[in-house]
Amino acid sequence: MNKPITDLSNVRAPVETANGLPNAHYIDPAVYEEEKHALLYSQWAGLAVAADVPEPGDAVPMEFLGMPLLLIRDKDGEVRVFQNICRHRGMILVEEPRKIEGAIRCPYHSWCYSTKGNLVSTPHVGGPGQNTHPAIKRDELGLNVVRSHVWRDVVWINMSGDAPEFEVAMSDIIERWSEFELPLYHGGHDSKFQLEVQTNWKLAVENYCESYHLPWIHPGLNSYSRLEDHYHIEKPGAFSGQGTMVYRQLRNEHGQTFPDFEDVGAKWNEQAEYIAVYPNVLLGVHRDHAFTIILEPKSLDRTVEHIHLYYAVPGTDEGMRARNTQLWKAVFEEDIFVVEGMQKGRHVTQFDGGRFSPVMDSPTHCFHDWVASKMDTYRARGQAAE
Amino acid sequence: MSDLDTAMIAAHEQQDSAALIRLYTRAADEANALDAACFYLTHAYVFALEAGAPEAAALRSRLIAHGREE
Repeated sequence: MNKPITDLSNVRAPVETANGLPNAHYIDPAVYEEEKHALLYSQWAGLAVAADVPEPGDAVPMEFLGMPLLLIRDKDGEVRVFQNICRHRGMILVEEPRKIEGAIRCPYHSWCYSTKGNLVSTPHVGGPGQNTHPAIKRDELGLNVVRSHVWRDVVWINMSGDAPEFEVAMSDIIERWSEFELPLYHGGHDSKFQLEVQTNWKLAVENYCESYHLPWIHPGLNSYSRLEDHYHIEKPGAFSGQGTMVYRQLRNEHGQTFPDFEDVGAKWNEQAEYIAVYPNVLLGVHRDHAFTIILEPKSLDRTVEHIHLYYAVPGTDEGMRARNTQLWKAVFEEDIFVVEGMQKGRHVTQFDGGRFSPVMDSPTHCFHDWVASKMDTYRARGQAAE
Repeated sequence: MSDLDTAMIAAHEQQDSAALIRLYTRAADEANALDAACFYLTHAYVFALEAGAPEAAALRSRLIAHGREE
Protein backbone atom coordinates (compact mmCIF):
# COMPACT_ATOMS: atom_id res chain seq x y z
CA MET A 1 0.00 0.00 0.00
CA ASN A 2 1.45 3.39 -1.02
CA LYS A 3 1.99 5.91 1.74
CA PRO A 4 0.13 9.19 1.07
CA ILE A 5 2.37 12.05 -0.05
CA THR A 6 1.29 14.17 2.91
CA ASP A 7 0.08 13.38 6.41
CA LEU A 8 -3.12 15.32 7.04
CA SER A 9 -4.11 13.79 10.36
CA ASN A 10 -3.30 16.91 12.34
CA VAL A 11 -4.97 19.25 9.87
CA ARG A 12 -8.33 17.84 10.91
CA ALA A 13 -7.67 18.26 14.65
CA PRO A 14 -9.62 20.99 16.50
CA VAL A 15 -8.48 24.50 15.62
CA GLU A 16 -6.73 24.88 18.99
CA THR A 17 -4.25 22.14 18.19
CA ALA A 18 -4.42 21.77 14.40
CA ASN A 19 -1.68 22.62 11.98
CA GLY A 20 -2.38 24.08 8.60
CA LEU A 21 -1.90 22.13 5.39
CA PRO A 22 1.67 20.96 4.84
CA ASN A 23 3.96 22.83 2.42
CA ALA A 24 3.55 20.16 -0.23
CA HIS A 25 -0.04 21.31 -0.80
CA TYR A 26 1.35 24.55 -2.18
CA ILE A 27 4.62 23.58 -3.85
CA ASP A 28 4.59 19.89 -4.82
CA PRO A 29 3.37 19.11 -8.36
CA ALA A 30 2.29 15.62 -7.28
CA VAL A 31 -0.05 17.04 -4.62
CA TYR A 32 -1.30 19.68 -7.07
CA GLU A 33 -2.26 16.83 -9.41
CA GLU A 34 -4.07 15.05 -6.57
CA GLU A 35 -5.88 18.23 -5.58
CA LYS A 36 -6.92 18.83 -9.18
CA HIS A 37 -9.06 15.72 -8.95
CA ALA A 38 -9.96 15.73 -5.25
CA LEU A 39 -10.82 19.42 -4.87
CA LEU A 40 -11.70 20.76 -8.29
CA TYR A 41 -12.79 18.14 -10.86
CA SER A 42 -14.97 16.23 -8.42
CA GLN A 43 -16.71 19.30 -6.95
CA TRP A 44 -18.80 22.14 -8.35
CA ALA A 45 -16.05 24.59 -9.25
CA GLY A 46 -16.42 28.09 -10.63
CA LEU A 47 -15.41 28.39 -14.29
CA ALA A 48 -16.70 31.76 -15.47
CA VAL A 49 -19.73 34.03 -15.26
CA ALA A 50 -22.74 33.86 -17.54
CA ALA A 51 -22.17 37.55 -18.29
CA ASP A 52 -19.07 36.45 -20.24
CA VAL A 53 -21.50 35.26 -22.94
CA PRO A 54 -24.29 37.84 -22.83
CA GLU A 55 -25.93 37.13 -26.21
CA PRO A 56 -27.14 33.92 -27.90
CA GLY A 57 -24.30 32.51 -30.02
CA ASP A 58 -21.55 34.11 -27.90
CA ALA A 59 -18.76 31.59 -27.45
CA VAL A 60 -15.65 31.91 -25.32
CA PRO A 61 -12.89 29.30 -25.30
CA MET A 62 -11.35 28.83 -21.89
CA GLU A 63 -9.10 26.48 -20.03
CA PHE A 64 -9.79 24.83 -16.74
CA LEU A 65 -6.69 23.25 -15.23
CA GLY A 66 -5.22 22.96 -18.70
CA MET A 67 -8.31 21.39 -20.27
CA PRO A 68 -9.77 23.32 -23.23
CA LEU A 69 -13.45 24.10 -22.67
CA LEU A 70 -16.01 26.13 -24.56
CA LEU A 71 -18.46 28.41 -22.79
CA ILE A 72 -21.38 29.20 -25.06
CA ARG A 73 -24.85 30.69 -24.88
CA ASP A 74 -27.00 28.64 -27.22
CA LYS A 75 -29.56 29.98 -29.67
CA ASP A 76 -32.28 29.77 -27.02
CA GLY A 77 -30.24 31.65 -24.43
CA GLU A 78 -29.11 28.73 -22.28
CA VAL A 79 -25.51 28.76 -21.07
CA ARG A 80 -23.62 25.55 -21.81
CA VAL A 81 -20.11 24.22 -21.36
CA PHE A 82 -18.50 21.72 -23.72
CA GLN A 83 -15.10 20.21 -24.23
CA ASN A 84 -13.70 22.50 -26.90
CA ILE A 85 -12.71 19.71 -29.28
CA CYS A 86 -14.16 18.02 -32.32
CA ARG A 87 -15.36 14.44 -31.84
CA HIS A 88 -13.56 13.53 -35.07
CA ARG A 89 -9.86 14.23 -34.56
CA GLY A 90 -9.83 16.13 -31.30
CA MET A 91 -9.09 19.44 -33.01
CA ILE A 92 -9.71 22.65 -31.05
CA LEU A 93 -12.99 24.07 -32.32
CA VAL A 94 -12.99 27.69 -31.19
CA GLU A 95 -9.69 29.53 -30.71
CA GLU A 96 -10.91 33.05 -29.94
CA PRO A 97 -14.05 34.51 -28.35
CA ARG A 98 -16.59 35.07 -31.12
CA LYS A 99 -20.20 34.96 -32.12
CA ILE A 100 -21.44 31.67 -33.59
CA GLU A 101 -23.88 32.83 -36.24
CA GLY A 102 -25.09 29.37 -37.24
CA ALA A 103 -23.03 26.32 -36.42
CA ILE A 104 -19.61 25.67 -34.91
CA ARG A 105 -17.51 24.42 -37.82
CA CYS A 106 -14.38 22.48 -37.02
CA PRO A 107 -11.56 24.24 -38.86
CA TYR A 108 -9.98 20.87 -39.80
CA HIS A 109 -12.50 18.70 -41.75
CA SER A 110 -15.54 20.95 -41.20
CA TRP A 111 -17.67 18.72 -39.01
CA CYS A 112 -20.34 21.10 -37.71
CA TYR A 113 -22.08 21.34 -34.35
CA SER A 114 -25.11 23.34 -33.28
CA THR A 115 -24.78 25.74 -30.36
CA LYS A 116 -26.52 23.05 -28.29
CA GLY A 117 -23.67 20.67 -29.11
CA ASN A 118 -25.46 18.45 -31.64
CA LEU A 119 -23.41 17.13 -34.53
CA VAL A 120 -25.24 18.47 -37.57
CA SER A 121 -22.89 17.92 -40.48
CA THR A 122 -20.16 15.44 -41.37
CA PRO A 123 -19.04 16.50 -44.85
CA HIS A 124 -17.58 13.80 -47.09
CA VAL A 125 -17.57 11.32 -44.21
CA GLY A 126 -18.78 8.58 -46.55
CA GLY A 127 -16.57 9.70 -49.45
CA PRO A 128 -16.57 12.82 -51.63
CA GLY A 129 -20.00 14.41 -51.66
CA GLN A 130 -21.41 11.65 -49.43
CA ASN A 131 -22.04 13.17 -46.01
CA THR A 132 -23.35 10.19 -44.10
CA HIS A 133 -22.02 6.78 -43.23
CA PRO A 134 -23.76 4.05 -41.22
CA ALA A 135 -20.83 3.92 -38.76
CA ILE A 136 -21.04 7.61 -37.96
CA LYS A 137 -24.11 8.07 -35.80
CA ARG A 138 -24.50 11.79 -35.35
CA ASP A 139 -26.72 11.50 -32.30
CA GLU A 140 -23.89 9.72 -30.49
CA LEU A 141 -21.21 12.18 -31.52
CA GLY A 142 -22.34 15.51 -30.17
CA LEU A 143 -19.89 17.70 -28.31
CA ASN A 144 -18.93 16.27 -24.95
CA VAL A 145 -20.91 18.12 -22.33
CA VAL A 146 -19.31 19.42 -19.16
CA ARG A 147 -21.91 19.33 -16.42
CA SER A 148 -22.72 22.92 -15.52
CA HIS A 149 -25.10 25.04 -13.51
CA VAL A 150 -25.56 28.80 -13.26
CA TRP A 151 -26.14 30.27 -9.79
CA ARG A 152 -25.51 33.91 -8.85
CA ASP A 153 -24.38 34.27 -12.49
CA VAL A 154 -21.42 31.95 -11.77
CA VAL A 155 -21.04 29.09 -14.22
CA TRP A 156 -20.21 26.18 -11.94
CA ILE A 157 -18.87 23.00 -13.49
CA ASN A 158 -18.48 19.46 -12.25
CA MET A 159 -15.81 17.92 -14.46
CA SER A 160 -16.09 14.42 -13.02
CA GLY A 161 -19.83 14.41 -13.64
CA ASP A 162 -20.61 12.54 -10.44
CA ALA A 163 -21.09 15.25 -7.83
CA PRO A 164 -24.57 15.51 -6.27
CA GLU A 165 -27.00 17.83 -8.05
CA PHE A 166 -25.92 21.47 -7.68
CA GLU A 167 -28.94 22.41 -5.57
CA VAL A 168 -28.13 19.55 -3.22
CA ALA A 169 -24.40 20.13 -3.05
CA MET A 170 -24.89 23.87 -2.50
CA SER A 171 -28.10 23.74 -0.47
CA ASP A 172 -26.59 25.39 2.63
CA ILE A 173 -25.28 28.48 0.89
CA ILE A 174 -28.40 28.76 -1.27
CA GLU A 175 -30.48 28.66 1.90
CA ARG A 176 -28.27 31.12 3.78
CA TRP A 177 -28.58 33.71 1.05
CA SER A 178 -32.12 32.92 -0.01
CA GLU A 179 -33.08 36.59 0.55
CA PHE A 180 -30.61 37.47 -2.21
CA GLU A 181 -32.14 35.05 -4.70
CA LEU A 182 -32.91 37.99 -6.97
CA PRO A 183 -31.86 39.04 -10.45
CA LEU A 184 -28.25 40.20 -10.65
CA TYR A 185 -27.15 42.73 -13.24
CA HIS A 186 -23.49 42.71 -14.17
CA GLY A 187 -22.15 46.26 -14.21
CA GLY A 188 -20.50 45.69 -17.61
CA HIS A 189 -17.01 46.50 -18.80
CA ASP A 190 -16.29 48.89 -15.93
CA SER A 191 -17.29 46.27 -13.38
CA LYS A 192 -14.84 43.49 -14.07
CA PHE A 193 -11.11 43.07 -13.75
CA GLN A 194 -8.49 40.41 -13.26
CA LEU A 195 -5.60 40.12 -10.87
CA GLU A 196 -2.74 37.75 -11.57
CA VAL A 197 -1.11 36.55 -8.41
CA GLN A 198 1.91 34.35 -7.86
CA THR A 199 0.27 32.04 -5.39
CA ASN A 200 -1.49 28.74 -5.04
CA TRP A 201 -5.25 29.30 -5.37
CA LYS A 202 -5.95 27.94 -1.87
CA LEU A 203 -4.06 30.77 -0.21
CA ALA A 204 -6.47 33.24 -1.83
CA VAL A 205 -9.37 31.29 -0.30
CA GLU A 206 -7.67 31.15 3.09
CA ASN A 207 -7.02 34.87 3.18
CA TYR A 208 -10.50 35.77 1.95
CA CYS A 209 -12.45 33.85 4.52
CA GLU A 210 -11.00 35.36 7.71
CA SER A 211 -11.37 38.86 9.12
CA TYR A 212 -8.27 38.61 11.35
CA HIS A 213 -6.11 40.33 8.75
CA LEU A 214 -8.45 43.22 8.01
CA PRO A 215 -7.06 45.88 10.38
CA TRP A 216 -3.49 45.14 9.31
CA ILE A 217 -3.85 44.67 5.58
CA HIS A 218 -6.82 46.95 4.95
CA PRO A 219 -6.28 49.79 7.46
CA GLY A 220 -8.64 51.97 5.45
CA LEU A 221 -11.52 49.86 6.75
CA ASN A 222 -10.63 50.62 10.38
CA SER A 223 -12.36 53.97 10.38
CA TYR A 224 -15.77 52.37 10.16
CA SER A 225 -15.37 48.60 10.06
CA ARG A 226 -13.41 47.44 13.04
CA LEU A 227 -12.46 43.88 13.82
CA GLU A 228 -15.12 43.59 16.50
CA ASP A 229 -17.81 44.47 13.98
CA HIS A 230 -17.14 41.21 12.13
CA TYR A 231 -18.34 37.68 12.70
CA HIS A 232 -17.27 34.28 11.42
CA ILE A 233 -19.28 32.19 9.00
CA GLU A 234 -18.59 28.48 8.98
CA LYS A 235 -20.38 25.58 7.39
CA PRO A 236 -18.02 22.62 7.61
CA GLY A 237 -17.77 20.81 4.32
CA ALA A 238 -19.27 23.62 2.29
CA PHE A 239 -18.12 27.18 2.90
CA SER A 240 -16.65 29.68 5.33
CA GLY A 241 -16.18 33.39 5.50
CA GLN A 242 -16.94 36.49 7.45
CA GLY A 243 -19.65 39.05 7.89
CA THR A 244 -19.75 42.68 8.94
CA MET A 245 -22.40 44.52 10.90
CA VAL A 246 -21.40 47.99 9.75
CA TYR A 247 -21.57 48.01 5.96
CA ARG A 248 -21.72 51.56 4.68
CA GLN A 249 -23.14 52.29 1.27
CA LEU A 250 -21.14 54.18 -1.31
CA ARG A 251 -22.56 57.68 -1.93
CA ASN A 252 -21.87 60.09 -4.74
CA GLU A 253 -21.47 63.85 -4.33
CA HIS A 254 -25.25 64.23 -4.28
CA GLY A 255 -25.63 61.66 -1.52
CA GLN A 256 -27.13 59.11 -3.86
CA THR A 257 -26.61 55.38 -3.38
CA PHE A 258 -27.02 52.37 -5.62
CA PRO A 259 -30.60 51.01 -5.61
CA ASP A 260 -31.12 48.20 -3.11
CA PHE A 261 -31.91 44.62 -3.96
CA GLU A 262 -35.63 44.74 -3.35
CA ASP A 263 -37.09 42.92 -0.38
CA VAL A 264 -33.79 41.75 1.10
CA GLY A 265 -35.03 42.95 4.45
CA ALA A 266 -33.88 45.34 7.16
CA LYS A 267 -31.41 42.77 8.49
CA TRP A 268 -29.15 43.68 5.60
CA ASN A 269 -29.28 47.45 6.11
CA GLU A 270 -25.78 47.47 7.55
CA GLN A 271 -24.88 43.82 7.29
CA ALA A 272 -22.79 42.28 4.53
CA GLU A 273 -21.25 38.86 4.08
CA TYR A 274 -18.17 37.53 2.33
CA ILE A 275 -18.10 33.81 1.80
CA ALA A 276 -15.68 31.41 0.15
CA VAL A 277 -17.81 28.72 -1.46
CA TYR A 278 -15.48 25.74 -1.74
CA PRO A 279 -13.52 25.16 -3.77
CA ASN A 280 -12.75 28.34 -5.69
CA VAL A 281 -15.53 30.92 -5.67
CA LEU A 282 -15.44 33.95 -3.39
CA LEU A 283 -18.73 35.82 -3.06
CA GLY A 284 -19.78 39.04 -1.40
CA VAL A 285 -23.29 40.36 -0.84
CA HIS A 286 -24.49 43.79 0.25
CA ARG A 287 -27.90 45.48 0.20
CA ASP A 288 -27.01 47.32 -3.00
CA HIS A 289 -24.35 45.31 -4.83
CA ALA A 290 -22.62 41.98 -4.94
CA PHE A 291 -19.34 40.68 -6.24
CA THR A 292 -17.89 37.41 -7.38
CA ILE A 293 -14.29 36.34 -7.52
CA ILE A 294 -13.52 33.20 -9.46
CA LEU A 295 -10.10 31.82 -8.68
CA GLU A 296 -8.58 30.27 -11.76
CA PRO A 297 -5.71 27.98 -10.82
CA LYS A 298 -3.17 28.44 -13.62
CA SER A 299 -0.49 26.32 -12.02
CA LEU A 300 0.83 25.28 -8.65
CA ASP A 301 1.87 28.81 -7.78
CA ARG A 302 -0.07 31.02 -10.18
CA THR A 303 -3.69 32.09 -9.90
CA VAL A 304 -5.85 34.51 -11.83
CA GLU A 305 -8.61 36.18 -9.86
CA HIS A 306 -11.58 37.09 -12.09
CA ILE A 307 -13.61 39.77 -10.33
CA HIS A 308 -17.15 40.80 -11.34
CA LEU A 309 -19.47 43.34 -9.72
CA TYR A 310 -23.26 43.15 -9.85
CA TYR A 311 -26.14 45.47 -9.08
CA ALA A 312 -29.83 45.19 -8.28
CA VAL A 313 -30.94 46.99 -11.43
CA PRO A 314 -29.54 47.54 -14.92
CA GLY A 315 -28.22 50.94 -15.88
CA THR A 316 -26.76 52.09 -12.57
CA ASP A 317 -24.78 55.32 -12.52
CA GLU A 318 -21.59 54.86 -14.52
CA GLY A 319 -19.44 57.09 -12.33
CA MET A 320 -20.53 55.37 -9.15
CA ARG A 321 -19.95 51.96 -10.67
CA ALA A 322 -16.43 52.93 -11.67
CA ARG A 323 -15.77 54.24 -8.16
CA ASN A 324 -17.10 51.07 -6.57
CA THR A 325 -14.94 48.94 -8.86
CA GLN A 326 -11.92 51.03 -7.93
CA LEU A 327 -12.67 50.72 -4.21
CA TRP A 328 -12.84 46.94 -4.35
CA LYS A 329 -9.84 46.71 -6.65
CA ALA A 330 -7.77 48.64 -4.13
CA VAL A 331 -8.87 46.31 -1.33
CA PHE A 332 -8.14 43.14 -3.32
CA GLU A 333 -4.77 44.49 -4.43
CA GLU A 334 -3.84 45.03 -0.80
CA ASP A 335 -4.13 41.27 -0.33
CA ILE A 336 -1.71 40.35 -3.11
CA PHE A 337 1.55 40.66 -1.18
CA VAL A 338 0.08 38.53 1.58
CA VAL A 339 -0.96 35.58 -0.58
CA GLU A 340 2.28 35.82 -2.55
CA GLY A 341 4.32 36.07 0.65
CA MET A 342 2.64 32.99 2.13
CA GLN A 343 3.37 31.12 -1.11
CA LYS A 344 7.06 31.99 -0.87
CA GLY A 345 6.97 30.99 2.79
CA ARG A 346 5.93 27.45 1.84
CA HIS A 347 9.48 26.83 0.62
CA VAL A 348 10.79 26.86 4.19
CA THR A 349 11.18 23.14 4.62
CA GLN A 350 10.68 23.18 8.37
CA PHE A 351 7.34 25.03 8.25
CA ASP A 352 4.77 22.82 9.91
CA GLY A 353 1.68 24.30 8.25
CA GLY A 354 1.43 26.90 10.99
CA ARG A 355 -0.79 27.24 14.03
CA PHE A 356 -4.13 28.99 14.08
CA SER A 357 -5.65 31.57 16.38
CA PRO A 358 -8.39 29.47 18.00
CA VAL A 359 -10.60 32.55 18.08
CA MET A 360 -9.85 34.34 14.81
CA ASP A 361 -8.78 31.68 12.32
CA SER A 362 -11.56 29.14 12.47
CA PRO A 363 -12.97 29.96 8.99
CA THR A 364 -9.55 29.19 7.49
CA HIS A 365 -9.29 26.03 9.55
CA CYS A 366 -12.75 25.09 8.28
CA PHE A 367 -11.39 25.28 4.73
CA HIS A 368 -8.31 23.23 5.59
CA ASP A 369 -10.52 20.63 7.20
CA TRP A 370 -12.55 20.44 3.97
CA VAL A 371 -9.38 20.09 1.88
CA ALA A 372 -8.10 17.34 4.15
CA SER A 373 -11.41 15.47 4.11
CA LYS A 374 -11.61 15.57 0.31
CA MET A 375 -7.99 14.45 0.03
CA ASP A 376 -8.63 11.60 2.45
CA THR A 377 -11.61 10.47 0.38
CA TYR A 378 -9.67 10.73 -2.87
CA ARG A 379 -6.69 8.84 -1.51
CA ALA A 380 -8.87 6.16 0.07
CA ARG A 381 -10.55 5.61 -3.28
CA GLY A 382 -7.15 5.27 -4.91
CA GLN A 383 -6.02 2.75 -2.29
CA ALA A 384 -9.21 0.75 -2.72
CA ALA A 385 -8.61 0.59 -6.45
CA GLU A 386 -5.10 -0.83 -6.00
CA MET B 1 -7.60 28.29 -63.69
CA SER B 2 -11.22 29.23 -64.28
CA ASP B 3 -12.77 32.46 -63.10
CA LEU B 4 -14.82 30.40 -60.68
CA ASP B 5 -11.72 28.82 -59.12
CA THR B 6 -10.11 32.23 -58.78
CA ALA B 7 -13.23 33.66 -57.15
CA MET B 8 -13.46 30.71 -54.75
CA ILE B 9 -9.85 31.10 -53.65
CA ALA B 10 -10.41 34.80 -53.06
CA ALA B 11 -13.57 34.07 -51.06
CA HIS B 12 -11.70 31.56 -48.92
CA GLU B 13 -8.92 34.06 -48.29
CA GLN B 14 -11.41 36.73 -47.29
CA GLN B 15 -13.55 34.26 -45.33
CA ASP B 16 -16.48 35.71 -47.22
CA SER B 17 -19.18 33.22 -46.32
CA ALA B 18 -21.86 34.75 -48.57
CA ALA B 19 -19.52 34.47 -51.54
CA LEU B 20 -18.48 30.93 -50.59
CA ILE B 21 -22.10 29.81 -50.43
CA ARG B 22 -22.89 31.47 -53.74
CA LEU B 23 -19.78 30.22 -55.58
CA TYR B 24 -19.98 26.62 -54.37
CA THR B 25 -23.66 26.52 -55.26
CA ARG B 26 -22.80 27.80 -58.74
CA ALA B 27 -20.05 25.17 -59.04
CA ALA B 28 -22.60 22.49 -58.13
CA ASP B 29 -25.05 23.81 -60.70
CA GLU B 30 -22.38 23.81 -63.40
CA ALA B 31 -20.93 20.38 -62.59
CA ASN B 32 -21.65 17.71 -65.17
CA ALA B 33 -21.47 14.71 -62.79
CA LEU B 34 -23.61 14.02 -59.74
CA ASP B 35 -20.67 13.25 -57.43
CA ALA B 36 -18.97 16.49 -58.37
CA ALA B 37 -22.21 18.42 -57.91
CA CYS B 38 -22.74 16.92 -54.45
CA PHE B 39 -19.15 17.68 -53.50
CA TYR B 40 -19.73 21.37 -54.22
CA LEU B 41 -23.20 21.34 -52.72
CA THR B 42 -21.70 19.96 -49.51
CA HIS B 43 -19.32 22.86 -49.28
CA ALA B 44 -22.04 25.38 -49.98
CA TYR B 45 -24.20 23.72 -47.31
CA VAL B 46 -21.44 23.67 -44.68
CA PHE B 47 -20.63 27.34 -45.18
CA ALA B 48 -24.34 28.17 -45.04
CA LEU B 49 -24.72 26.18 -41.82
CA GLU B 50 -21.75 27.94 -40.27
CA ALA B 51 -23.06 31.35 -41.22
CA GLY B 52 -26.62 30.62 -40.20
CA ALA B 53 -27.56 31.58 -43.77
CA PRO B 54 -31.11 30.94 -45.02
CA GLU B 55 -29.76 28.99 -48.03
CA ALA B 56 -28.83 26.10 -45.70
CA ALA B 57 -32.30 24.54 -45.76
CA ALA B 58 -32.55 24.38 -49.55
CA LEU B 59 -28.98 23.11 -49.93
CA ARG B 60 -29.67 20.39 -47.38
CA SER B 61 -32.82 19.39 -49.25
CA ARG B 62 -30.85 19.02 -52.47
CA LEU B 63 -28.29 16.79 -50.73
CA ILE B 64 -31.02 14.69 -49.13
CA ALA B 65 -32.68 14.30 -52.52
CA HIS B 66 -29.48 12.68 -53.76
CA GLY B 67 -29.11 10.50 -50.64
CA ARG B 68 -26.07 12.50 -49.48
CA GLU B 69 -27.34 14.03 -46.26
CA GLU B 70 -29.63 13.05 -43.42
